[in-house]
Amino acid sequence: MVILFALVAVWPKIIPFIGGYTGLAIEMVIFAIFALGFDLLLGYTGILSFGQAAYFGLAAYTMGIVCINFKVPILLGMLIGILIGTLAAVIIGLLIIRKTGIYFAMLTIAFGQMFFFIASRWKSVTGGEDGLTGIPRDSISLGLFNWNLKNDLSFFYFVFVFFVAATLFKYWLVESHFGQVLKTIRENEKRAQVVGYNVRRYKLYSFIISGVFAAVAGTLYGMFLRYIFPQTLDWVRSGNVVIMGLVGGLGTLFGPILGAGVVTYLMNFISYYTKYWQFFVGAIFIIFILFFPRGIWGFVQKKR
Amino acid sequence: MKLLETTGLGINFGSLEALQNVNFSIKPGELRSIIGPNGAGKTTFFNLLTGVHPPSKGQIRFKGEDIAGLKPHQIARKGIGRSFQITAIFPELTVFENVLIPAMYYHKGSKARDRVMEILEEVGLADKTNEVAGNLSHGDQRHLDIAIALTCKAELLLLDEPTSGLPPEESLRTVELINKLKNEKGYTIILIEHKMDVVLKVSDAITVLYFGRKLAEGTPEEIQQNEEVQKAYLGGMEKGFSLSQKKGERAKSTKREILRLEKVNTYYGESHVLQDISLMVREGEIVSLLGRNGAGKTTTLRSILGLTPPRTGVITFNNETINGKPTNRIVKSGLSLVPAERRIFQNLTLHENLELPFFLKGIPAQEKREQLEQAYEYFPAMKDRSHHKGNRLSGGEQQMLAVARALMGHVNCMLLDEPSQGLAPLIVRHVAEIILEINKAGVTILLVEQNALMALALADRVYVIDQGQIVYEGTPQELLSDQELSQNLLGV
Amino acid sequence: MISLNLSLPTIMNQLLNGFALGTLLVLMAIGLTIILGLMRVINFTHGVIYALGAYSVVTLFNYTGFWPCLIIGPILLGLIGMGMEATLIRPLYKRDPLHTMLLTFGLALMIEDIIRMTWGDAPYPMSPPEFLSGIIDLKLFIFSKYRLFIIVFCSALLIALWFFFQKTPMGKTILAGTFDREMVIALGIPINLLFTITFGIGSALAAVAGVLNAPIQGVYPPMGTGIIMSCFVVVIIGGMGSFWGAVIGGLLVGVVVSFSVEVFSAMSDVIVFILMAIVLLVRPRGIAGIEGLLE
Repeated sequence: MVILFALVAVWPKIIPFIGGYTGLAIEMVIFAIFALGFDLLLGYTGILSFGQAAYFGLAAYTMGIVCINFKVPILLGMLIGILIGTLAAVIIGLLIIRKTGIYFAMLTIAFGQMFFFIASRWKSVTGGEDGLTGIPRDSISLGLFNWNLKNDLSFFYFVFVFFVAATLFKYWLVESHFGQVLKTIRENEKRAQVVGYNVRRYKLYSFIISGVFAAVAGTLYGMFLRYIFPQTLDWVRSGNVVIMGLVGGLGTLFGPILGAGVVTYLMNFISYYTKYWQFFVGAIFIIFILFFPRGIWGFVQKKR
Repeated sequence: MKLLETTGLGINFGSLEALQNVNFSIKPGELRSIIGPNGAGKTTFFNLLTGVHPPSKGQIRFKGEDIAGLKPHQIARKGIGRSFQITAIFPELTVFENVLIPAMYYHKGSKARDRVMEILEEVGLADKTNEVAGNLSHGDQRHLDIAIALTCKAELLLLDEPTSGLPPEESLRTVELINKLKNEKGYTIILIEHKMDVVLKVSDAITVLYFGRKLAEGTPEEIQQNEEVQKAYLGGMEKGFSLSQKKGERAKSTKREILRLEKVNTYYGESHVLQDISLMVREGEIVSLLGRNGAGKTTTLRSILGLTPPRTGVITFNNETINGKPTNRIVKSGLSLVPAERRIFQNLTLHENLELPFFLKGIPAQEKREQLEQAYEYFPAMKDRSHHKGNRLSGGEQQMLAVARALMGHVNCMLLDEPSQGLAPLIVRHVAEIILEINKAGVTILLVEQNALMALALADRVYVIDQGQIVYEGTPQELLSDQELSQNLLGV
Repeated sequence: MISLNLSLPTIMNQLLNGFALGTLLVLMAIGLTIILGLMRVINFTHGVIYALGAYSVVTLFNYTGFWPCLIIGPILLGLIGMGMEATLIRPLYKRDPLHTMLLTFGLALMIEDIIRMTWGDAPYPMSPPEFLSGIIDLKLFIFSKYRLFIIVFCSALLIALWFFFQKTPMGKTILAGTFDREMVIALGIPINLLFTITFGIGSALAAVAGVLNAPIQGVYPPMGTGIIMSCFVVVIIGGMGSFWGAVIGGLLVGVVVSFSVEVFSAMSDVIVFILMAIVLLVRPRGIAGIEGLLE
């Protein structure tokens, strides 16, 4: 893991060699955080949600709204965004965690779409279809010094901090008793129940934590673009993170990070040459489902 | 002092009364076996005890406390552990993790790890802690399932068919484990089992369930002598089974073999259900496959038809190898099935059910019409009901329909799975007579039955299957004349 | 935002629009529900097939006019659907049902871009064929001729479908399969063929809806993504695997959406999801669904 962090830390320097640029590196890391959370839900607990983008977008919008309208400082704005995103995950989770399988997935889509439409229609607050522009990314004062985030490179390291925190947190989580119980739920839910675990509560916590990851990633994304728009909330976006998880390898520590990196890079790379990136991403996804359902990292692990 | 007690326990699923008025109690340290034919409600009983369903009626008291209606995880925490008929472990985790994660709920830190090793030693898996659970042998997986059940500081263990699908040596190991748990460790155990020899050996007492009710209860000796129980297992009929036609009038069987199974091994997951099964049916014969619940009778038929393909072994029909072929090809070569639960399509009418097998078979319309007419001749009672949807037919009518349906198309050999199940004696007789008629018309029959008397009256030859292996082959007369043999193989 | 200006003509008009939209949704929902009921596949490609149906009108219109599109489009797309099923989806049946769903999702993404590649990004405005455009003036209220046509055509097709499922051997076999798939196999019926045909029928129905709706809705690349959710909502409300459930669900959703456009237009897109959430939370089986189909 130390290797991973070292690699990512110097990533902006490396990435130009494969045709990238710092902004792309930032995106890759942001989505890595998103994918880590998603993987907790599907890879470790065995629950599919097609609506995680809701919390992603909600957090970003909230931060934007408070920062722009109420001139709240950046860090506080982020916190508020994350809190609101998490709150949404709590409320929705409480409502729907009872359901399983496809019903659950459909409900996550339903709620995701509701947020999407609120974002698109509530012009006065969210800017409607045009989105919310002017999300600040100036500098934050950390007591001793000011960290200027305007520069892409310095923003990258800001995101990097969160990435390290997220990865460490996830690692700690999956190795802890909580994470182990999640795995038993994934493997045999009925059995986990009959052993004495309140399965529903664990699933709910997993859902909420996943939402937290999404919210964190969302606020960072909003700051990155300095702008947020409704499409970040819809179910196709949620679908993207599913693709990232699967391609990278679900249920592993490195898989989602790898998947997020690869998919984001490919989307960017492909759209440089053709605007039909969706075609290629879809094709790659299909190839993985058919031949490499355990993802890149899962495939590598099996080979060892 | 009773550890567990149920009074008037009952549950309905819709209109089905799965359990009715069950009064049950068990003392600490006792080992009680629950036996009964399929569908008697044994697993449902366990489900009620572990909180999977709340009861519709009645009470459950554990250590004096009312536990009816509690959720499964709450009941587990009270000290009731359960193992499952279909092995319920966490396949991708290691053996150690399988037990550790549940145990960590009840113990902290290193105490948990100690307890895990303790449990694994008890069940004999201490040397396999790092193996991935999914890779264990089936017997070991069963022991792991029991180990998981022990983690909840259990005082009461509910073991659901722990030896099902195990080869004899593994089965023996499991029985030894159960004995050890009871005698050395003092667990109270309720056991669901089909293997009578196991039941008789380990039980302090036996409770017999039959169609959701308690039929009898007592020591193993008492149950063995109990006539009611014998009747329940043998089909609820008086001794002897008379048919209106005499056997001698049936079609003479030619010597030609038409169906042969050679060392067939079939698995459900890792459960080794059929072990080196070999049997043979000649053209025109009626051959019966007898055995108790869970012996492997239905699996044998499913293997022949390709619904549960065998892993090893050869099945030939009409000189063609059929194992490994897709079911529609196997059926096309002349086999058909009357399944155990009849499986009539409830959303179609009787006539439509009858017609369905003709779809995409390329049978000329004239022939189809003739076959349909023939079906109504065999079962005239169907004529009035031909426009009724499947779900409005009675059990007997559905059975008739299932048999008639299996006649449609080009059928040389019919496989019947427990056609007498759940039917009144008069209807059973009618079904038996029809089977004779069909056989007279040239159809070879392989009849799987629990109702031994009916099967023995019909069959030319008999095989008995027990715990996945063929243990007897002969004629009905030979079997019946050997009192001890028939008692052992068929009776309680 | 909420306008309760509901005079009789408005009500009648929206009712008509509602039924027009509703019958289209019914067609698509039936296609989706038989695939779900028989094959246990959640088919995300349903939406893009609908879109392809609409685009087939764009291409064929200049050669053949509108009417033949109603036949050529669906047949072609039915065949394409069968091809997809046999090559890509069939290998996944043994796996976790999640995989088939994700595969159809990936396919839907690809096909949407194929549409962009072939026909470009810009929407094509369309209008109904000559003799069906315009309105019927009934003094009390007015009807759009084309929407009336949609209702009539779809109803006729629906009756034909009902006939197919209740009276023809293939239809009955499909119904039997949704009830007890293994027994159908045990009767010797080649189930893979049945699956492929069912997928083809479902796709063809989606295509018909696409062709019919093109003149009203116009044609634009993401139209598939837009409609697929409404289809799922209908199937969930009506009950997965149920013919009549799809009918009731479709009409209900159609009318509700229509009225919400009139009454509370800001919510009209999202009302569908609110309905679905309510149904899923309160009675997941839907109005007429087969219990425990996907629990």
